[in-house]
Amino acid sequence: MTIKLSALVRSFRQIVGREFVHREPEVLATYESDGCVLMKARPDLVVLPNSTQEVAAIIQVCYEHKVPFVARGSGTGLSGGVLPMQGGVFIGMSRMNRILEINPDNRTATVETGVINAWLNREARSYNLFYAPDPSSQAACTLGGNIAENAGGIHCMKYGVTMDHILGLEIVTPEGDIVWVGGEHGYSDGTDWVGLFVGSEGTFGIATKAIVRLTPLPEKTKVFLAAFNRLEDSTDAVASIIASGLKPAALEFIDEFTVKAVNQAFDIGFPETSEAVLLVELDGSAQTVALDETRLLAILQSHSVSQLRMAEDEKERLKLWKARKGAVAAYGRILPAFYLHDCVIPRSELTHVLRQIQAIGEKYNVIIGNVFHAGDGNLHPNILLDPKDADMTKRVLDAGEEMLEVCLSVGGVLSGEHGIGIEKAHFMARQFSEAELDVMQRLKRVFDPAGLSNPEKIFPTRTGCGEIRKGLPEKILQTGAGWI
Amino acid sequence: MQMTTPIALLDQLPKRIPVSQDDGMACIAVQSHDDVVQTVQLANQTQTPVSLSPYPANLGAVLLDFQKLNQVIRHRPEEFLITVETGITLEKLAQRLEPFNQRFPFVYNPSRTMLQVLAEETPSLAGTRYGRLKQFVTGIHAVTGDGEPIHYGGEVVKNVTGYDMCKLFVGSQHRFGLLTQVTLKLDPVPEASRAFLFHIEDLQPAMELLHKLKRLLPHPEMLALFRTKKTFGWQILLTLSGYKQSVQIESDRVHDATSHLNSDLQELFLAPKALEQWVQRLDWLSPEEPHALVIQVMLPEKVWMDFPYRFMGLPWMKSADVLMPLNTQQLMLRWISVNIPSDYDLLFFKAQVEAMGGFARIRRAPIPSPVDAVAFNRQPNPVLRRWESRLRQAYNPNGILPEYSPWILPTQGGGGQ
Repeated sequence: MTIKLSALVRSFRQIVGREFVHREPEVLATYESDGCVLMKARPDLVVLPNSTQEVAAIIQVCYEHKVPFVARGSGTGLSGGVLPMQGGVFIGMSRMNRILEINPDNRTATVETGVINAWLNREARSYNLFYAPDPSSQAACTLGGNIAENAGGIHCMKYGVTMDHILGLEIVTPEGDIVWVGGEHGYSDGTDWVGLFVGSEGTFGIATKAIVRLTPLPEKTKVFLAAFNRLEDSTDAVASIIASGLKPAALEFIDEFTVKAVNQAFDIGFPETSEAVLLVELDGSAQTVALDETRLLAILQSHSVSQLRMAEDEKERLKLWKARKGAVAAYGRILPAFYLHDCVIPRSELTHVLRQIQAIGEKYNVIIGNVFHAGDGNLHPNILLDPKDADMTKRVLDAGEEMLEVCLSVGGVLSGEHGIGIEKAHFMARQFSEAELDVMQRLKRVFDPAGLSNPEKIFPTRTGCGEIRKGLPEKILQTGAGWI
Repeated sequence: MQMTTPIALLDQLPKRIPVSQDDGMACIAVQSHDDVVQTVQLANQTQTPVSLSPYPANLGAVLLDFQKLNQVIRHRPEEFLITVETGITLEKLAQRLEPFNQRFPFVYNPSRTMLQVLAEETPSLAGTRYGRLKQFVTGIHAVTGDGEPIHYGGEVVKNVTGYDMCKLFVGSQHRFGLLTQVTLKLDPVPEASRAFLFHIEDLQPAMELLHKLKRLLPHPEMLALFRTKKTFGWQILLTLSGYKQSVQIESDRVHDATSHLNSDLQELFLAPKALEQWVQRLDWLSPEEPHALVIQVMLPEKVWMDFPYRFMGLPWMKSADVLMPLNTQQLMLRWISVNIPSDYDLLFFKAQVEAMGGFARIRRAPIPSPVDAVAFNRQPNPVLRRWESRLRQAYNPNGILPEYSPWILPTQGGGGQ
């Protein structure tokens, strides 16, 4: 930095007001981690703007003095994406939380990006519409965070991920300009700026407003719970559902371990004698759902489903999904933390890969719970750990690395919805060649030539000899007691 | 870049890659991803510009012909995914998928190649249900303008690993790289489909019916309003597809809702293949469709619905063919030969569209028109112009690839000048 911290504080206070600039250690401590509790890093300053103009003014100061900055929504990310790797300024978007317009005729909403995902859904439902991307953290996560990570969720199998629902963005560039890309029509003139920005993990600047697509609520929705005594039957059923051309709104897998954890936590009554449970949601017109149901049940029966339950009413449907979304929280009764992966594989490889994951768990003597988006092939192995146990933590990290190797070996990719952040950056060289990584990084320089916006994310950092660093960043280990 | 003759490039090109002469221009028939990589790398070394057949060429350029880069690399019917080389025609792709009862749901002229529709991200009438073309691309192999091969994504349906390079190359009109292979999502062929055509003389009742059908049917496959010189008045095309019973129920709703209208409703009792061929004629961006000038307009939906009222009365609009597919929020205007609007009319029109939150771009071909396409299509926003310039520097630093496309034509001769 070429400017003293006190001078920065003065500049920012002039922009947002004294009470919205923080440098107190106890405040900074609350911003030093996201949902990936394995890592932490502390910013030098936290600034809480209330408008796009304020964000632009903050970034202009940062740009002038070459101070790195990171935008932060609710901090629910799972890849260390908001860790300030070079310190600098945290720009908290929590005050920019207004739903500016819901247009039921256009089926669009214009929002500030600090809006919580579930708030938008609550508002949209009063117009018989919904915002489809629904990550498990939707009660807390912001749309800005969803945009940064191109978040998915349970219903993205049918409705698509965040990218498919963002029509336009107001962006503050890393050079401090304000620009709109896309628009209500959802197209960019020539280059797809919206498509490039969504999922760029905050490294191309900060989205301050978004025009999002809203979807009509389906006429009919039905959720089925199917239990299987053998894991193979459940994953083969998933492959058959996909191969049949059926398009469930959601198709989720829960393993035996997670079923028990969820039952203990929520008293949901999932069948515990089974090796796997599938939750399948069908939606559409009443006629279509009825016809889909006939086909679905035939497939499930042909794969030796042992128990089949249908949510009788909306209350039970919501209870099932609440249990699914709360599965990760249920692990907290067993061990205090978890390391969650997010790889995606071809769906026809589910059986093979899940068995491999089980074997890896046994090899490293770690507990793994699997609850994931089976319809997308988006695995979420949760490896439970006690971070105070250094030996266990090492085994968890080694097991995770081996799992990723298995996923890549079947044509999979590192991340489906959580992003790479800092947590998986060192794995990127396993999926991409050095030349491919270079081609990708050229994009960063297009948007952020000075490298100030959320630096050191996504790509592996090189050491002196051009060698790509292996393992989680040493910097995090060395500073701020990186491990909890 | 300094223009050269392609002799140096051709001398170094491996003998296995066929070269022919096309109107006095060297035409390289690439047959693999590696051929494209090698050719573009040689083009960079020899400072030889490259154009894509059949698009207009730079002076001194070699033409790359992708016709033989047309193989199916892998079809995974159980995953509803297919990986193809981009020179494949849509007709060949459809033939390959037919035995599996699968389809690529976007409808274009069947002689078009995947490369052509992906490079422009040509909107399709089926976008009413399926959205944008790029949502169906899960993986790419491409070659950047400086000859760097890149592979992104693959046979997975969800992916946030690094920056989404598919979004850079699909729709960017070959300006930053050439797509050589793509993995596409597929859809099952629906059990049943039906199509309706409404003939309505006046615009106002036609728009009212369009609104009504939109409210009535949550997910029609296609819903479009159009007018051509060959037809009298306005027409609305509606296609439904899905389960037999569902389609029957929706068809009954359409009949009930429209029986009292003063319109001529014709149900197109065509076999699915014939119906597809009928719809393909509405692919006005196909190189085979005659036009002197095409304007493509993207608008917010609320404005899109009001647009015809505001503009169809203009004298120069009366000679245009008009196509408005619902939910793609686009408006296509085509002039085949006569009464092409003046520069003044077009620039006024463009300003109006931008004031309404949309954008417009023009394509003139193959007949020359007096319109300055470069001026018309120039990016108006300075930040986006800066980003565009950096993108060119990052991915096409030597200007080997054309810096223009059918949408962004040079005023005279050499591209990028």
